[in-house]
Amino acid sequence: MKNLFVFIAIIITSLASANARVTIDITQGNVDPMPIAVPDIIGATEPMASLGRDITSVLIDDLNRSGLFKVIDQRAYIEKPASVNVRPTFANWRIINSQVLVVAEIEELPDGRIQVATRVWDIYSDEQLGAVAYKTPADNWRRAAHKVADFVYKTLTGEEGYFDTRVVFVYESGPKEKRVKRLMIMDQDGANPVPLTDGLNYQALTPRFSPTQQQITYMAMFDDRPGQVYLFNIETGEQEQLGTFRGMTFAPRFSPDGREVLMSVERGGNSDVFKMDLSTRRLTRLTDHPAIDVSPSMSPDGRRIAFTSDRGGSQQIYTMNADGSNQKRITFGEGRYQTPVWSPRGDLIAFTRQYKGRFYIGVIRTDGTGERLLTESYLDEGPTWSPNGRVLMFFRETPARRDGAGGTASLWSVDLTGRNLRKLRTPGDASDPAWSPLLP
Amino acid sequence: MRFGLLISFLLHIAVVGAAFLDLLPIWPRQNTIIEPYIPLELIAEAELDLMTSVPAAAPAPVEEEPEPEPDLPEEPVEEEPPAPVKEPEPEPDPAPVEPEPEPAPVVEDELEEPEPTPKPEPEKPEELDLAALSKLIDKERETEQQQQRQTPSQVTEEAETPREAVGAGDRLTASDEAKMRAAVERCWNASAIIGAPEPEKLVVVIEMELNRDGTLVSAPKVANSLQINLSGNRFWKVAEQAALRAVVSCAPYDFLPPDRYATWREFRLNFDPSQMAGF
Repeated sequence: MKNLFVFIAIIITSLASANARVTIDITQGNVDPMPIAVPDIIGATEPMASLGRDITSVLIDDLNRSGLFKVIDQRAYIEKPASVNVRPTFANWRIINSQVLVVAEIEELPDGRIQVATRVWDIYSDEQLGAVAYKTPADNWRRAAHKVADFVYKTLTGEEGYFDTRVVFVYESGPKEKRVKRLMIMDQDGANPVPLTDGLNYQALTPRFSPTQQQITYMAMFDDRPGQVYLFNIETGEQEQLGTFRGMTFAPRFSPDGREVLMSVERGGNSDVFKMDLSTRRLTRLTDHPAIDVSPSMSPDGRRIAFTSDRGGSQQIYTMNADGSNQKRITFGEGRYQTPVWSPRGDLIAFTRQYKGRFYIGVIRTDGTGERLLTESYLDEGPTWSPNGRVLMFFRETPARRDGAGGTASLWSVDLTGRNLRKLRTPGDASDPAWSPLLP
Repeated sequence: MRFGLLISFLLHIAVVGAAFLDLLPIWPRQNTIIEPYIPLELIAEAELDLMTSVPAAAPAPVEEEPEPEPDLPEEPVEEEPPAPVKEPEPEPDPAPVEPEPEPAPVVEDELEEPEPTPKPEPEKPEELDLAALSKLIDKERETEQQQQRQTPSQVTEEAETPREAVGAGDRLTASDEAKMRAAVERCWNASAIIGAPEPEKLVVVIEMELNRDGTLVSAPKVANSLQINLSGNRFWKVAEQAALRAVVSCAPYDFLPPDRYATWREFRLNFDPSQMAGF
């Protein structure tokens, strides 16, 4: 019986080879940005056409900045789409080597709002990959542009976009010795920067976004007493201190469900990791070790927590269960590992590594394998993930001259593949970025 | 004495008051409150498709979503000249034209080849015993694969000659295979895939048939399309689209020598992004 199967198998294989089909493994593609065409958004009236052009420019900027797409110069287009509902002539877009075409149309609705309808076409299979439309008040057009960009991104990459998001960061001003640090929020593309705190009676550090609400947690540094962790609702402006401690509380971070805040609490020179339930304000100790345990970050499934500890001699990354049990070390490299941040996808942990006077932003699998360093400079620090877990934002400082002047701090982003390193536009010196979840 | 006491009393009040005031502004005086977000109303894809009929051709929108793999119907859709424009016409042209140059039956080609090649073929028997032939092919494929592994991807011209002498049109030459691989790899835009989680699970197998002039006989097929659709893995779907785009945009494969057509008429390409991802 077994022989029969073998016999059949042999016959099948010989038949397969008889038709002389050649099998080739394709393992190395090009990683250039995908060339896509984005003609101006069509508008029937001049005001609509004008608004359409504004939206198009934000859309193109988003797509180009992702590093995954290269929008072909509009001057090369030989077809001008007349309506979003007309099937494009694919040959016209193939000639300019576009792989994908995004056609959109804007119209004014009777209630005064605008509607942006979009179709994404695959130029080589001649088929529509997706279609979507958004309605919103006209003055909300920037967000409409980001939403369309997110839709295109999701259609072409399979994962959620991150363009309709905001970034909270520490805006730094004044001379080095009397630095004023306050919180500021802006759109992910640098538009609409708005200060959140005035920085007069305390310095704000390490803001972190709630994954579920328009709320942040951060550490306030005072001149006369230990720094404390605060909650800040950015829609109402309400603030509150999280617990009262004699020692310092710092490095706060929300749990993925937004119901708890993990933080480090310092008591008598020793720091340990705690979590606070935001509804009951009950504080639970998670580590109890004479070494310095700091910077907790919870996995998206809420089961594990990554943190930094120097219990092994140098600062390294450890993970533990959400209740503090089963602590184990996952990094063993030279130098110091700091600020672990669990990816929203759950598969990687981002970190800052300090080694021989240089700083690196890197990622490592949650079991401690596959460490990869993505950036290197005089000082790179504070990674924060885009909500889709694809991009990391961090801040980079340049050295000051001997007289103390000249050092700058700025926000940068890098793809988790290490490509597409970009500097963000900020109103001035900026540090400690925190990426918001996708806006509702 | 009393005066001093009064001064002391006033000073104390001042100090305590100042301290008190100082403590109060723990909260910043002005918090700029971010305006609540203006909602965007989403019109679902399906809904939009209903609202907006893609020109003339009703079948066009229908086929988009549910299509599991029928890549073929594309041509007919094109022809229906839905668009008010004439441009689509050049499109259908190549397709119908192509089949013609292709000398029909498969078998003939294979038979035809060995004859015109008078070169010494050590392993090759005179006539076409199918079983023997397939065995031979298998053997040769094995050795070729082994050699492949040692050969650098850039195959030089010297490599071509001996190979030609031996293979004489039975199998794709190493040089042709390398050219094919290089061409497809150039056309395969993998930038969107390499950051995806678990790239080793995103292998896409494409089967395609070529005409003698290197154009595609028909739309390429995805051999594991069913698996991809059933998996519900969006990244895999995107990988499928990228692989299809690669082989279509790369055509015509006119660098393949027509005289060895039988060796490269059919291809099976395994697109495997796992090595690129670096994870």
